Amino acid sequence: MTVIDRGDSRPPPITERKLNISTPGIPWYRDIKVIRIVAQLTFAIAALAAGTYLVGGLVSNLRASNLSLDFNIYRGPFNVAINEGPSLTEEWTWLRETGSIITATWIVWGALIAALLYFGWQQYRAGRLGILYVTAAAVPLVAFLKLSPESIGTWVTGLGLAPENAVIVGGVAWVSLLVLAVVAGYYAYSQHKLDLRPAVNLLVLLVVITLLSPPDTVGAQIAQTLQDLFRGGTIARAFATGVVNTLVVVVVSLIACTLLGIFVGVGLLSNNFLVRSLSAVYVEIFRNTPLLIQLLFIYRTFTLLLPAPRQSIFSPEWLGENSVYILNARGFYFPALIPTESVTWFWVGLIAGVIAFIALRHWRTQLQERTGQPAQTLRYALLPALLLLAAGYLLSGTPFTVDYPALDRLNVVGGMNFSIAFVSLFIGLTLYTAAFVADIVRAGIQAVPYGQIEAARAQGFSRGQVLNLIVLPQALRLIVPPLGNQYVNLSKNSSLAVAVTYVDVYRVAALANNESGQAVPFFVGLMLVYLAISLLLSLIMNSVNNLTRVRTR
Amino acid sequence: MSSENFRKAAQTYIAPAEPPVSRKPPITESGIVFWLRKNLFASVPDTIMTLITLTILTIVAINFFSWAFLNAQWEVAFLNLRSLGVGQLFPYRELWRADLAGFVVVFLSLVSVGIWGRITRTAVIIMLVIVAMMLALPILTAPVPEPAIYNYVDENYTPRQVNFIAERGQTVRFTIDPLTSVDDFRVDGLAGYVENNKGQANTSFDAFNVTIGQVTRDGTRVPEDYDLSVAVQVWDASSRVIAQSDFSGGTQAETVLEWTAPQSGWYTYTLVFDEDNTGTGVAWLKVDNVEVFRSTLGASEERVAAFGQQPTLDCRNCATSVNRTDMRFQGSRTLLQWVSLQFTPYLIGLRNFVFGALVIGLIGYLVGRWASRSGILDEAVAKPVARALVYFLGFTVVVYLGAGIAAGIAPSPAIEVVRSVMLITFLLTGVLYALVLFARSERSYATQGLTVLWLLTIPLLSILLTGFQTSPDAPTIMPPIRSDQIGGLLLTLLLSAVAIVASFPIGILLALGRQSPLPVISLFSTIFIEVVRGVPLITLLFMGTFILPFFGLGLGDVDLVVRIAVVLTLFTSAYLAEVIRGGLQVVSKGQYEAAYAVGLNSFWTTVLIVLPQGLRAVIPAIMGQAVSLFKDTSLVYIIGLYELLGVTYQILGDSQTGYLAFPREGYLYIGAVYFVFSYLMADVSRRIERTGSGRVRRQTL
Repeated sequence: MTVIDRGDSRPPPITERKLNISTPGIPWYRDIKVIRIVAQLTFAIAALAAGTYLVGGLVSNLRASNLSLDFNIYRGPFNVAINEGPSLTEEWTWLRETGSIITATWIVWGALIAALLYFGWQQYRAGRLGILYVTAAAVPLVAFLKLSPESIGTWVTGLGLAPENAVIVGGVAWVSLLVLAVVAGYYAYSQHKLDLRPAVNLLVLLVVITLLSPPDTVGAQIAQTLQDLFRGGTIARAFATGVVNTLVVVVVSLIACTLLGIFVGVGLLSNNFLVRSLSAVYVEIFRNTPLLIQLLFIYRTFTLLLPAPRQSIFSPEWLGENSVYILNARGFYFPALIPTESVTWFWVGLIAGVIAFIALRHWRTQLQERTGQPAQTLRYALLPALLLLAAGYLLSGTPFTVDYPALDRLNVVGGMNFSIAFVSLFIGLTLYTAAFVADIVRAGIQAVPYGQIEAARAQGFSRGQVLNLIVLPQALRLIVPPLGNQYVNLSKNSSLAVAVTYVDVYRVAALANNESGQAVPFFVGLMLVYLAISLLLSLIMNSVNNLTRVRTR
Repeated sequence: MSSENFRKAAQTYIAPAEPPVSRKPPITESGIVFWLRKNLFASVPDTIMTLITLTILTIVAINFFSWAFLNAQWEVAFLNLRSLGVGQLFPYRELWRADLAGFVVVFLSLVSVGIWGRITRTAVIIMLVIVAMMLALPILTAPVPEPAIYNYVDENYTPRQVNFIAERGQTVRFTIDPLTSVDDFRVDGLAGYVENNKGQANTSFDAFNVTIGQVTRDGTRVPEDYDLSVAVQVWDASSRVIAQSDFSGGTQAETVLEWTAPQSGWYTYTLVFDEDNTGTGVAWLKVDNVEVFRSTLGASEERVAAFGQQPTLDCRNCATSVNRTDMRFQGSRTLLQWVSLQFTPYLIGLRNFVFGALVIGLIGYLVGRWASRSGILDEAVAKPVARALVYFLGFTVVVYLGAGIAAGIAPSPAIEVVRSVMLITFLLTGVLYALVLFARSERSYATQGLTVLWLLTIPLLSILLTGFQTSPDAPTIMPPIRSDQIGGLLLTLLLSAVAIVASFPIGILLALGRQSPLPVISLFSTIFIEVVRGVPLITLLFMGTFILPFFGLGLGDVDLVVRIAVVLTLFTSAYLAEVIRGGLQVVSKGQYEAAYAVGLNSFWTTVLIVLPQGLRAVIPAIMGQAVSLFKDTSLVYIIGLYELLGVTYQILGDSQTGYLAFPREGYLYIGAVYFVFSYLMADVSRRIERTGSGRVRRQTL
């Protein structure tokens, strides 16, 4: 049986973590353990009391000034026009369709159960039983939440007991379910049988929940609630638009700033004096000035210098007559891809290709690790994926039509556009964050011991091979954590969009606040959105970090 | 090589009698050519990259510098130094207090430099260059003439009346220049004040192609028909005519009036039309040798102080040149004109503060040098004196607080007087104590004295910036300044300093709490840190401004500046906690074990062993966080506090002054200010890092 050690990072058992300092003969009021517990209790009680008092005061004051914490206000109307991002009024029928797809088929169920079984089998083979304990704790917990003494009693009545006694028995069984869950969970935690990976736990809970509830009603309920909440014209819909706008600018800036940052970071280490100095000057200037000033400068320069639509700047002729890019004071226009009806086959082909690529690559690299056969992922993974993609494209005929922007009398029609606010926000965020990324990249590459490069060159590696196979893997270890930090900073700095009047989630919250006068629910929603984005980015960067970190036995 | 040849060579080699002549290495291996080859032209791709970069760099540099020196209107920044420095609402008469606060900080900083460091040669050179520029440039550029002021004249146009100030004996020349051909209307690179035909300052001035008048809009005007007959009048301060030119009629440019001011003061010039003449035409009225006004609030107050209020004009659409920046140099110009009209006034505006700061800084540096070396006071005298002073300080503090409590219970003017006296005594005693410490012989005492002085700046600066009164109606040289009157760079520095200093202990506590073995405290610290780090600063500022009042307890009545300072402090402390946590993790376990073996409990271990090492290890990161906070204070303008960026935004948006078209210059200037401060802070941190005081011996992995 092969044990695949993934190098987990569990903490050492609790009993070894603390220095146990308890001397016999000390009265209880001087014993450190008692002092610790008392101190924590006092702190917790004081904090909770203060918190309750403050929050209570907040709620009553809000009520006194006609503000509320009522989150139902998200269903209210939103009457301000937003000209960027998804439309505010189109009905999102795909919500109901997706919900019905999820509920109408058992494919998802089957996939979940299959994934769980596969995972559990892998863990069992690796000698880790944590997932069993998680299941042992999760099943009673969900049963406890789903059932009630009465429902258990109805089952028991079938065995011939009187109804009152049945309810008592049902109650006892119900409480014992909770006790079972708690005990199993505590046992798993204290004996480290608990698999702490959140994905595993989530998976288990998801499967158990779906097993215990009728799929149609739950799915339909969820779909209906979402459909209701996000119907056209609601504030929740506007929030969703704001979130989409924020995510668009964050993702695009992220990619661009990484590329630019790597470029400038490598330039900082160049042999060429000019390139080195220019990179250093760029990094110093953009790190030492506030982002807000840079954004305002870029935005005002653009709005000052860009021409009116009638004198727009067009992309040059030699790029081809099919690539029309227009730039004027209203925005940056580019050709739009519009999906036709036959686009589904294209998406199917794309998704199938991606899944096939991941699975086949996983299979081939496992094969290489086990038997030493060369993986040849290009041949065995990329090629089939591309074939699937091509098949999807061919089956769909013409999945997309292109809409070119053109200059009407007064304005540009057609095509998609990025407003000048978006362009200036994108450029400002990219330039600012890329300066930090460049410094991080430089520090990471410089931390690789020079002896590695010397040894590699002595072995005959070319400069490119040295960079790809020797320097970058070691440098990435040091680069990834602070890089993740910079990404989170980027996502938070995107809130400065309010200064360039880009409609991101912060601005939507401010507009909703102006509209309805209720500040608190939007403000809380805003903070939750930013926390979620930061958390998501941190999780992704943590998994990337795990890919590149030092593996210890 | 065959063995035979080898034997032959080995047999026939004869060593020379003298050592070979030593030669310099070839020119391509040393000196500047070698440097060029290595750094710029090492290989073919390298050479190509160098050439491309040089080309791009030259193009960009030429464009940027020609715009910056020849076209950009830097008055936004150069003439608004007072607003940028202390805010637009800061009372003019109290500027000396802001200057004094700056001098105090500069003095103490240079005392620190005197005690610990040395002034580098580069710094001295830079200072000398700046002083030389400040002294020489005004003298050198004095003879450069003021640009002419162009006024637009046409037949529909109500004559304008423009106030100006003339010194005694100053000769002003008025010229009427008719525009008789279409080409005259295209004025490239026109410089000087241009008025459009609505009597407004033309803020959308296109420096390269000015077309004025109705010719270009609908082509109806025929420029050749010029038969306007206008004359120039000069009035004195009471609107009496004291000079008038003849009515001009020709189609050539002619100087209609050369007038000399009999005495210094306000005058007005205006145009009058010949009533019998009903001609049409467009002309420039060119006025030479009149000062182009610098229309900042301070300048206008200075003018009023020197020459009295400007005369009120009885007309519509008059230019009141004192309040508006219409008299502005627009269009392209030469480098000398830029130096004379924009750069020199900027230097003059900075001159007082810079010279004062230099002198006081020098004194501070000398005091610092003296403090760390002298031993004037005998130890036997110094110790009891110092102790007595400390007790006296404690006494004044106790009396001050007691009087404060008594004033809360039973207010009376006598108690207020007692409080003020105690405050002043506290400050003076503190300074005396610091001097005593300076006069002792060891450097550690100098450090203590310096710490005392820095701590004293807290009450001193709060007095300077908020006012000091023995009782609400008593006359005082320091009347109170409200917190919303403070703005500009002063507010930025204030917020940054308060946030950095106050967040340091909170950050340490949070870091210690996060890695505490007590799960409750660890949980609370972690939640606080993660929540505060996960949301943008704008959201926290928004909450502090708008949501905090709803928490009750009178939190909303607290000053906005104080609330924002608290929010910034909490924000920075969360980030600092993460940084310090990284530093604490560097301290090896052996230190903990050794401390436990010696008998220190966990509190003293932390305070005496772990924190000093941990904090030293992350000094650069802490400085980085300080720089980051300094830049983040620029966000507070979104919620209405006008610090440096906010004041710039106000100035640019103020329709009265017409700076709307010059955002680039404004933002570039304050970007440079932020850059200088941040770069200096980062440089200091790099220097500290280099001296090794931050180094902790780490275990190799």
